[in-house]
Amino acid sequence: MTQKPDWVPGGVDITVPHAARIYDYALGGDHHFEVDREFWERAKGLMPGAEVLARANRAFLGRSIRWLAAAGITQFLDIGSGIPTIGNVHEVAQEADPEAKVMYVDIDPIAVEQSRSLLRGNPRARVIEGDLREPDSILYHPDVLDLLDFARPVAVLTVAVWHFVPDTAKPAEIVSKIGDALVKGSYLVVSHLGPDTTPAGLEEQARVVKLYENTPTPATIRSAAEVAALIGPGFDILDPGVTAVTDWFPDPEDADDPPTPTGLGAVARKR
Amino acid sequence: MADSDAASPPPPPAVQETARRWTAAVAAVGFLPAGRARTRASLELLLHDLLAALRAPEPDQTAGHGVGVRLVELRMGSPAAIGATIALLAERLPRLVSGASDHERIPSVLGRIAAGASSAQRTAAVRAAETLNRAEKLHWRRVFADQQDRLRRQQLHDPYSLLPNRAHLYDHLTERITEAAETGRLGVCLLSIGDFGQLSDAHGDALDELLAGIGARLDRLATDDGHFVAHLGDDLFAVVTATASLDDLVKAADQARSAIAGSGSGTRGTPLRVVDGLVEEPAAGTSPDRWIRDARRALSWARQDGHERGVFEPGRAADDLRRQNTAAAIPDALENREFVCHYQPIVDLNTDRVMGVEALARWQQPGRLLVPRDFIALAEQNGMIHRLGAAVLHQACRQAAAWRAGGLPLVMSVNVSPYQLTDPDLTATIAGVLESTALPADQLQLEITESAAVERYEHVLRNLASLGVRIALDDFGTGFANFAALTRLPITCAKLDRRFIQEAAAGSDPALAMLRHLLGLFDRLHFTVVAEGIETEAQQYLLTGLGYRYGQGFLLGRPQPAELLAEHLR
Repeated sequence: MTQKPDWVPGGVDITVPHAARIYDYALGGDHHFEVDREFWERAKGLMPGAEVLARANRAFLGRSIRWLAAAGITQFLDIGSGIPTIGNVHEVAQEADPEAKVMYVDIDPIAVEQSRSLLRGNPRARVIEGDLREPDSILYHPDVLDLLDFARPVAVLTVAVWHFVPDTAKPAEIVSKIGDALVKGSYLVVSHLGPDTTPAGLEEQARVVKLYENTPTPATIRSAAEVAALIGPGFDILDPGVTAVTDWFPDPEDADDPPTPTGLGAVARKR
Repeated sequence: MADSDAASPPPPPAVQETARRWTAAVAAVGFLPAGRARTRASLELLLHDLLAALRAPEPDQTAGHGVGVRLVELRMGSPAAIGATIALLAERLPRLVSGASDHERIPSVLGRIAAGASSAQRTAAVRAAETLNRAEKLHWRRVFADQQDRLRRQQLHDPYSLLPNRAHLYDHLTERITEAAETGRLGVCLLSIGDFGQLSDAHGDALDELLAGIGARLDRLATDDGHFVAHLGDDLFAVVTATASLDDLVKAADQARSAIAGSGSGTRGTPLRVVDGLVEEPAAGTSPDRWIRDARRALSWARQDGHERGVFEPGRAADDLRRQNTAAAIPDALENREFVCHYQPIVDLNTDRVMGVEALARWQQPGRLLVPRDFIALAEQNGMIHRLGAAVLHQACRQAAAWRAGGLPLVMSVNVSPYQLTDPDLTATIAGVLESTALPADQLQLEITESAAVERYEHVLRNLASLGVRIALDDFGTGFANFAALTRLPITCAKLDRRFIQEAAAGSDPALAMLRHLLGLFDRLHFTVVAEGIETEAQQYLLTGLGYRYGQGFLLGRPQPAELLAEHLR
C-alpha cells in the first residue's frame, strides 16, 4: 500500500489563476482575484483578440440557449459553467420559460461556492462541483438526478471547456458517455478554441496556450474537423455545422461584430 | 421582465433611432450578453421612462436614478458604458423634448443616471467581494473539516486494515466503561495470527492485501453483530462486545476467528491459524489498560499451553505475578548472597561411605527457603541463570576445596542448566573457578540433564571434559537421549532417574528388567552409575542385589548445609 500525503487539499489555490474566474473578469464580472485579472491582462497582451473571442463565445452561449428554448428544451446541464454572472444560462433560459431548470457544474470549488451564493432563492437553478473528465460522477450525481429528468430531453452545454480536456483524457469517450445518458432529442452544445487562420495568429495562440500551462487547466486547440470527431457518432451536428461562433445564427443587428475564426461552436442533437 | 411588453405601441422613429445609437455606443465599449436587438429593446423602454419624467408637469426629483440602476442590472454598468450613455443622452435628449423647462431638467436627470449606476455598481461590487470572500471561507472551512475528519480517521484507524487502531480501542473502552451500568459486563478478545512471521515472509507484498481482507471481514462482522473490532497492529486484532456471560464473548470470538481464518484461504489456500485470549468481567470501575493487559495475558497463556484459546483467570494471573516478582528479585538476591548451596551425599551402597555430594541451590528468603524448582526456570527465562549458575559453582568448588584441605576429598557434583551450555564463556568461567579455588578438576562433576538436546552441545561438553572435569548425565532415562551419541560424548557418569528405582521396588517387572540391562550397558560404556531417589531400605537392598554400587536419596542423606553435613561425616 502506498502512503500518499493525501491530506493536501486539492482543487483551489487562489494564488493560481483559474479559467472560471478569468472568464468572469474578461466578460466584465466582479468575481475574480488579482491573479485572475493579471492573467487576463497578460493573455490580452499576447493575443489582442482574446477579449473579442471571450465575448463572442458568451454571446454564442446566449443565442444557443434561446435557440434551444425555442426548440422546446427546458432542462439544461451546463458543465464548466464558471461563475454565472454575465449572460448566465438560467436568466436566459428562465426568461424564455420560467419553469426551465438549469444545473451548473464546475470543477473549481470556489466558483461553485460563488455560484451557490448567486443562485440562492432560485430553486430551479442549482450548482454542484464536478469534473467533466468523470462524466458519471456528474450524470449520476443525486442533485443532478433530483433536478433534471433524464427521461425527457436535456441540453448539455459544454461551452469553452473541451479545450481544457487533453487528448490523453479521451474527450470523445466522455462525449459518448454523456450521449448514453440522454434520450433522443436531447442536445449537446460545444464551443472550442480553434486554430488561428494566420501565421501571426497561430503564434499568438501558441503563446496563450503556453500561458495556460501554468493554470490548473492547460489548453488544447482543436480544428473544426477534430471538434466534429469529438462530438462523434452519437449526435447529429446541426446546420451550420462546426463553425465560427459568430457565424452560428448571428443576430442580424450583431452582424458587424468582428469575426472570430478561433472560436468554434456547434449544436448537435442526440440520435 | 418588462422589456418585452408586446402591448405598448411602437415608439416614435426618433426614439427608436436614439435607442439604436445608444446600443451601438455601449456595444463599442463593452460586452452585451443579450445581443444588440434585445439590448436595444431594453434601452427603448428606459428611454421611454426618461422622456416621461422630463415631460411630466411636475419635476420628479428622483428621475434617472432608476435608469442607472437598471443599466447595471442589464450588465451595462461598466464605467465606460455609463460614460458612453451620458455622452449620448446629453447629445440626443434635447432633441427629443420641446419645452424649456424640460430642457432644464436634463442635466440633473443625467447626473442621477450616473449616480444610480455608480451606486448600483458599487453595491454589486461589494456584494461580489462578499460572495467571493464567503465562498472562499466556506470552501476552506469545508476543506479544513474534511482534513480534520481524515486526520482523525488516520489517527484512529490502521492504514492497512482500515479498522480502528489501538488508540481508538482505548477510546472506545473508556467510553464503554464510563457508560456501563452497575451490573453491565464487557468482553474483550484479542486474536493473534499464529505464524505471522512466516506469513509475512511468504506473503510479502500480499500481506497488506491480506490485512485489508481481514479488515473488511471483521468490519462486516462489527456492522452485522454490533461488536467493536480493532486492529492493534501486525497480527493482533481485538473484539469488544457487551456480554451477559463468557458464552457471549466466546461466540463473538468464534465469529472473529472464522472471519480471520477464512481470509487466509483467499490468498494462499491454507486457513490462518488463530490464537485468542478472552477476558469477560463486569465493566464498572475498570480501566482500558486492565482489559488489554488481561486479554494479553490470556493470549500468552494460550500460546504457552499450546492451545487455541486462553481465558483470563485472576488466580493464574496472581501466580504469574508472583513468579514475575520472584524473577525480578534474582539480581538483588545474587548481590545480597541470598543463594546458598545445600549438599546431598552420594553414597557407596555397600559400605554407606560418602563418595561425593551434589550441590543444590537454595534461596534464603526471610522466613522461607526456596528450592530450584521455584526459581531455576525463571532464571532461565530472564537470563539470570548464567550468573546464578556461576555463583553456585563458585560456592560449591570453594566448599569442596575446603573439605579437601580438611581431609575429605569428595567429588562435588554441580548442576549445569542447558541454558548455561549456550554461554560461550562457560568453559573459561569453570576453569577460572577451579583455578581460584585450587580444586583439582577431577573433583568437580558437572551434571547435565539428559535430553535429546545434549547432543547439540557435544563441542561444549568436549571443551569441559578437556579441563579434566567429570560429566554426568542427570535424570537418565527421562530425556530420550540418542543412545548412539552416548558412546561419542565424553560422559563419565549416569545418574539414573528415581522412577526406575521406585517402579522396580513397587514390583514392576519391566522397570526391573530395565535396571538390570542398563547396568550392563553402563559397564560397557565405562560409566559410573548413581541411582537417585533411594528412600527406603528395600530400594537400597534391591539395587545392591542387582549390582548397583552408588546411590543418592533421602534414605542416605538429605540436602543440608555444609556445616551439618561435615558434622554427619565426622
